Amino acid sequence: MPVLVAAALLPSVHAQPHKIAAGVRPMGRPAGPVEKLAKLPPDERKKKLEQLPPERRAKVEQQLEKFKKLPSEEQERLKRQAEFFQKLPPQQQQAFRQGMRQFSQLPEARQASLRAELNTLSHIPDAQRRARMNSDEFRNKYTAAEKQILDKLSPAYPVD
Amino acid sequence: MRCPVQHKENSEILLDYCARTLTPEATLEFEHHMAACVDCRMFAASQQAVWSALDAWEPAPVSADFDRKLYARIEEHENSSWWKKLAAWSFASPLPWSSSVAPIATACVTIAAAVMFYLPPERPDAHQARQNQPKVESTDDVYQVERTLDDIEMFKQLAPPASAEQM
Repeated sequence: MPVLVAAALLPSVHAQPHKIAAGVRPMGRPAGPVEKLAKLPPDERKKKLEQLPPERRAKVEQQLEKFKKLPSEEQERLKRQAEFFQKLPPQQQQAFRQGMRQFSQLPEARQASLRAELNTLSHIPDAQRRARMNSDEFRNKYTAAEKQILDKLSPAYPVD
Repeated sequence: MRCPVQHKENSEILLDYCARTLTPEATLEFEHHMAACVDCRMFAASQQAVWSALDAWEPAPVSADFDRKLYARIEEHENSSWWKKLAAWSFASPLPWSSSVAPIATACVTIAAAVMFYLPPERPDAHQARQNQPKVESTDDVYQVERTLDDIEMFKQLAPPASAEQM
């Protein structure tokens, strides 16, 4: 019985993403509002989006249409990533967004390289990640600016 | 004879006369007084009207099984639970505090009604402003969708090449 009680009291990894950031970060459950809005009939969706200013409304409609065209597995993955991200502490979110802005300014080839590295880094525990990023191999492969970007993205990037 | 309306000690004469239970002598004496007394005449006339109405009233016929039903209900009450008996007793004999609660409740209702009645009417522009206010929950939903879609867009950039090609 005490074991059951203790198990029940253990904090859920999904409920406390900032604590998960210490190790490998699994993703949360699917985000609801987007799915709900995507499933609404066009007229109802339009009515709901009327609360937004025209430019933002058009952007949301466009993003939603693109999202609906994605394979369902991809939709699920992105929704889980977004929800996981939204549960992070604001400072971590802010650092991630800043890292993303810097990332988007890189040449496509460098973006691809960093994307692959980020995928590797997000699948390993914190200590291992730090060791990897401090290695000579890493320093030779990435510039200081790129390392900074990975530093900002990797702690908050949710794994599949 | 002293007037029964004016003197309370003789009031029984008045009531007995109306109930037709006075002795013939007392009846004659009272009628003699009544001929000269307007108050007694009026009182006797009103009482006469009540007695006439009661004489004319015919009670509704009692059903053949009235007694049987009555005894059944008495028996049912006797066998009922204590709280049902208590409830029945409460309704039959109001609690001592009920006499003070009723006026207080009446006063509260009166004050509430007065406040509602005398409150200044709502200005039409205030009503309009409230109508125009966005529904908070619904707006929050839309903002949440907007934020999530932005985040999704952001994560798309980090998607592996195979996934990125689909976008």
